[in-house]
This record gives sequence, structure tokens and C-alpha cells, in this order.
Amino acid sequence: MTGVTQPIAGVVYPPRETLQRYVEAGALTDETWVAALQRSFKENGARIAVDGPEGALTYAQLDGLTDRAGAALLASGLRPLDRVVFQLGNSKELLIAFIGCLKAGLIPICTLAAHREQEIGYLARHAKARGHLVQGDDKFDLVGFGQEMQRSVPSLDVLISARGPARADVPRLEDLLEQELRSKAIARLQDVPRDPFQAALFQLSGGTTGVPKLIPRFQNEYLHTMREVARYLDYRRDDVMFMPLPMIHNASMACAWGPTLLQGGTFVVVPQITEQAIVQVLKQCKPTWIGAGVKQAVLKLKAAMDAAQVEPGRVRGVWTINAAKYTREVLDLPGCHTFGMSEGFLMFTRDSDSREAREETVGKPMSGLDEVRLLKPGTEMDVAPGEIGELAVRGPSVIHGYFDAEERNRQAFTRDGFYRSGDLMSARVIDGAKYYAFEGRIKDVIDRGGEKVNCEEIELALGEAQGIAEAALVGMPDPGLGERICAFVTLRPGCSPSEVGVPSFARFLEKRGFAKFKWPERVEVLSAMPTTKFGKIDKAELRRLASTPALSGVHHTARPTWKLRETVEFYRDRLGLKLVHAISAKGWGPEGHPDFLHFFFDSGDGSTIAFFYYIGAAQPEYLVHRPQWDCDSVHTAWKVRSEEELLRWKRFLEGAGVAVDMHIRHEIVESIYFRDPNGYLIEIGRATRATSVLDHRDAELTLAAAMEAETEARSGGQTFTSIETVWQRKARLHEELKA
Amino acid sequence: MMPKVYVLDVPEFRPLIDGARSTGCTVQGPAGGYFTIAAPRELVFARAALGLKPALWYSSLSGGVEGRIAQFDRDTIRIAAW
Repeated sequence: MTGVTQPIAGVVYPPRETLQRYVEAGALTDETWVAALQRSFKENGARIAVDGPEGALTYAQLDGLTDRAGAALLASGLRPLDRVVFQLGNSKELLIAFIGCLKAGLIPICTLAAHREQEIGYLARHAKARGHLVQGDDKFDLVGFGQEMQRSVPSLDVLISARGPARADVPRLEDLLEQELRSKAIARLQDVPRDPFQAALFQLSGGTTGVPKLIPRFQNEYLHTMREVARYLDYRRDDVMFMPLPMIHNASMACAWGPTLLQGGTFVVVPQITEQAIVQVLKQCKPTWIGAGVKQAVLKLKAAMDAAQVEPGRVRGVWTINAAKYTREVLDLPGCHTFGMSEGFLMFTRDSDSREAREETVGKPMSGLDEVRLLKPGTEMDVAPGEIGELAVRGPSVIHGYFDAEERNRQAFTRDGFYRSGDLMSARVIDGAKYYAFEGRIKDVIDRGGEKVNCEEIELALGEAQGIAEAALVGMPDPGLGERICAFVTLRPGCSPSEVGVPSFARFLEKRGFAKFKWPERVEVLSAMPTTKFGKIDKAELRRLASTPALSGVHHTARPTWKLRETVEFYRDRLGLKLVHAISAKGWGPEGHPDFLHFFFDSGDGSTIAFFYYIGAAQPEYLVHRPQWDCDSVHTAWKVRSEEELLRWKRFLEGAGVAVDMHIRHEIVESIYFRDPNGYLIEIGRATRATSVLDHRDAELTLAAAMEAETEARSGGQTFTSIETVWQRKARLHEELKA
Repeated sequence: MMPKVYVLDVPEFRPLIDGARSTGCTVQGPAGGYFTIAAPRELVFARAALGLKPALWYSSLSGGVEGRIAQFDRDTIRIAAW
């Protein structure tokens, strides 16, 4: 019969007629994923299913362990269709527990070991999860955390740990497996209902709204996806897959270990990915497919392959997100691009595609049953050929709705049921087929090394942090992870920028219970958020700001002195600046470079003023400081926070016998000036106001006018001898702008 | 053409605007971040009347000038038509 027999409240099942269409097309069958796995386990009994640094398992062994795991999970009080929260890193135990759940008819929720009370608490409550599987040997005490979650989430009855030491009150998977008899386990599992149209697992969405969303994936459609991947990429029985991504992710499940275990191939499990571990895997497991992700991973892989002396021709393909060209150039191996979403749609490039398709696109859908549209953002109109549009998809594996999320589900689909991905793509026809190129995202998500971080979730939380008026997250390009998280914030009155930063946000988000991979790795304080003409925060501008390297003030300024004692006594003893560092060196390499001292005085907020004293070197005439405008243009200007502080300095200097030559209110800074024993001019200033976009534009115009005048003078035109020229040109620029 | 100066709409240059209004010049704006001050034949500013300190006085035309600076000393600025 087509369609689910025992629906779970909150799960959106595709309409019966839609299912019927895919059944008739042969995509959806009566076979469940778990039954297909069991069949493969039987057929491939003596072959190696799992390999890696922690040893190998044959298919028969994996079958036995997962039978016992399934039975043990039921014996612990869980019942078929109960949801089970997963917090297990890459390991054989993860695979055993996961497949055990499938055999027991339990529904894994694909959360991460890195998630904390914010995510786990919310999702466990939302999905009414009854089970919680945690990694016992994680750096973080996940077992203690699981117990805490049991206290705060009433539905969580069963907590089981794996891979750790035995702990009172919390059963260990390993012990439960020991106690379970295989024969009894098989009998117990026989009663578990099998429904090909039932949810098999809940994946996590990258999300676009404040809270994470759950994606139900179904037994027969997930099986269909895996069979398609194996067919499309020509996975073989003797393939060895090494894809060091989180195994709980859809990408690993649907494209790597899932299809591998259906084919009788070997999947390599590496709990701790280190350069050493990669070399060991390459040497011992001899993978035929390798996952590398981004460019930098390809470089690392190159080093490891050289170290492991990988046999040429052994590796058939390298998965990357966008580095196929690089893979060919650096490794001389075929690279395979993948694009996918947990919501159930995948594209690949493969060997038989032309080089243009393989290196410049993310491929094409695997079968004609997947329908693809590129929509003009915000509309349901298709873009013209070649234009960039939002990818919208419909197909046998594409979801019809997130779990229990009516409001989101109303926005996530077109009227004719295409899922709107939030990703931007362009299409191009190569060799008569339509391929797609990734062009960015419109959903507000940061992809940090494959973990999707939903900006709004963290922005809302940070908006409640001490002193923060508004927070906006954007991704900043990173060679290793693709993107890292940069937070831009504006402050409430009375909050100082020095109170806000990466450490304060880390403490805040840790306390709130957010996974660490969501914490900002760079924090920038703005006086105002840039906005679009619609008044929304201009994230494109923030991304631009985040992608350029930033400075955060002055570390030191340095000038030479021929008055060592006077200089030290002036800065250290009269001004009271702490002497914080002194370098003394025997020359500096170059022939004739004198021995010297280089010493630093603290000038607040991490800045210093530094001097060089060259031993035995006479002061050249051109470095004798004359107290006039040309020499004085080189000066140090220190910053104080308030007018009171500036006046305190003035009184302090006068009291110490240092003459304050001038006290001037400039346009945006009010300053006092004095001289040190070298005659160098020192300014202390306080900002009278922050600059705004008006000042910035005005400065651009002034300099544009002045540079024009300079260019003209250089080319022999009108001389440039007066500021009048600049002001008159500037007036002309105003008129031109108006026109 | 009437002499005209542009004055950036920031507090420190506000005395120029207030002064120009009180002496009957044509003040428009702010538009695009600038006021403009114009007069039929000649624009005259007196530092004492505006109460501008020298540092600001000497950059008081930095917004832009349409016309010729006929006089610019410590106390008076005169801008004539081209």
C-alpha cells in the first residue's frame, strides 16, 4: 500500500498521489532502508564494512552488533517510533547505535556532540525525544550534560553513553551489547513494524529562522537517494571510502557511509582526524574515494598522500565542494563536486562530465525525477536562462515540510510544492545538459566548515547580552573552513567597546548553552549598522567589511633618540608611562648596523610609544628636530576618553613642569600639545564626536578634488599653490553629483 | 554667478549657518549633507561675529567654494563672484 500506516503527529508526509507517482516511476519501493541494509549485511558477511585506526568490522560483525544494539535499546524502555537524540562523534559506536536504532524502529535525531542545552533542550522538547545517546569520552562531560537534560526535559527517559568509562546510573552501550544475546535480539526485532513510508530519521536544517528545524527523512526515499548516489557515481563493491566529515550529517549518510554499506564496500571511520591519522589511513586502509572539502584540505591531503606513498591510480575520486580544478592540478586526480541539502536534494559532477562541467559547476541532478527551478528571489517567476536565481526543487526525496513548523512551512515552498532552498544558482548548458553553478545564498546562514550556523539564532541571543543594542552576523572568508563567524554590534549608551569582544561573547553564549561552533570568532563594534534603502541591516556591506583585514588601533610608533636618559626619565618618571619592553641587540644583521636599544612605554589600551637608541652612531643633521610645521607634522597623538581626562592631563603636565604649548578644539578632536626632551611634539586629544557617513563622503570629495589638482599640476597644467583650488573644484564636484 | 559656499552639516560649522542667516544671506539645505550659503554680489564672514576659533575659521570654506576668495585673513573672509 502506498503511504504511511501509522503517522507521527507533526511529520509532514507527502500526499498519496505524489507518492504514487514516484512509486510508479520506480523511485519509491516497498523496501525500507533498514531492510536493504540487513540484506547487504547478509550478502557481504565476510567483507570488511568498517575500517580505521580503531580496527575493522566485517558485515557479519556489524550485523550482529546492530541487532544487539537494537534489542538493547528496546530493552531499555524505548519503543518503535520514539525519537532518540544523538550526541556521538565519528566512531564505530555511532554507526552501531544508529543502525541499532533503525533496526529497533527508533528515529534518530541527527544532533551533534558539540550541541549544548540551547539546541538539545529545544530539539528534544520539540520532537518529544525519549532517548539520548551521548559520547562518554568527549572532552566535555556529555554524560553529566545528559543527566542535566533529563532533569529539564521531562520526555527524556533513557540516557545511554558510549565510548567512556562506566558511570553509576548511566548505562553504557558496550555493557548493554555484552548482556544482549544475539538469538533473543533477532526475535525481539522481528516484531518491530516496518513501514517504507515512515520517517527513518530527523536531520537538522541549516535553518533560516531563530530556532533549528527538523527534517524528517523517510525509509524508502532515503534508500532511493543512496541507491541513486551509488549508481550515479559508480560506487563499487571493492571501494574504500574515506570521507572525514561528521557521519551524522546528511552528506556523509546519504553520499558516503549509507551507499557504501548498501554496496558491500568499506567505510573508514576515524574518530580523531589528525595529519598523522590521515597518513595512517591512506597507508593501511588504501581508500579509493577521499573527501577533502575545501582547497586547503586538498593541500593537506597532498602532503599526506606523499607521506603515505599512495599507489598511483588507486584513488578514483576526491570529493570537494568547489576545488575540482585544484584537485586536478595539485593531486592529478579527478575531483567530484557535490551540492546537497538535508532537505533532500543532491547534485554531483562525475568523471564522464566535460572538464568545464566538472570544474565550473556543482553538477546536475541525478535523475529526471528531480525537478529544478531557478526563481527570481521573492517571486515564483523563473529567471531568464543564464541568470542567477533561487534554487527551488521538487522530487522523490525532497521534503514536503519541516517537523511541526507550520509557519516556516508556509514560506518554504512555492504554491506548486517546490522547496525554496535559499541558495542561489545559475544554470548553463554544457554538451546539451543543464548544469548548475553555486552563486551564493539568500538565506542568512554561515557555512563554517560544513556546519551551518543560522545567523538569526545567534543575533537574537547576542541582542540580550550586556550592553549590546544590536548584533549582526556574517561569514568572513577562511581558507580552512570556507567561512568563519564575524559579529558586528552596536552598543547601548554607557557601554564601552572595551567591554565587548570575542571572549565576552564566548562566555555569554556558553552560558546560554549554544554549541561552540556558533560563537563569533571576530567581533567588531560599529557606531551604527549600515542599512539598505529599505532600512534593513545591509549584510552585503557587513560581508565586505568582514572580508577585508581589520586593524584595531596602534601597537607602537617609533622614533630615534640621542638622549637616552632624558627620554626615559621624561616618559617613565615625569609622565608616569610604564616601561614595558626593551630590546637590546648586537647589530641587526646588515653590515654596519649599529648596536641598539629599542624600548617601549605603555600608552594605554595596548598601545605603546617606542624609541631607538643607536649606540655610537652620531645624530645626522636631517634628524635634528626643529620645532616648526614640517618637522612637527611627524608627531604622536594619544587618545583620552573624556574632556575631564584631557583637562586632568593639562593640569598634570603643568604641575610636572612640562609646558603645554597649545590647547585647540579642532573639528572632531580637542587637543593639547607639548614637547619631549628630543623636541618631538606630543598631542593628547579626545574625540569631540564620532565621524559619520557625512564626514566620510566629505573627506572623499575633498581628497578627490585635491588629487585632481595635483594630477593637473604634474602634467604641466594649472599650478597647485592654494587651497582655493581644492575648494573651488569641490564645489564643482557637488554640482556634478547633483546633476 | 552668485558666490556660494558649501558647509557640511556638522555641529562645529553651525556658527557659519547661523551667522549667514542673521546677515541676510540665502541659506539652503541641508541637502546631500551640505548647507549652501549664497549672496547676490559678495559673501562676507566676520570671525568675531561668528565666534569661531582660528582652527575652525581657517577651514571654514572646506565644504566647497563657488567664486573667488577676495580676502581671507584672521578676521574676515570675502568671496566675490567669478
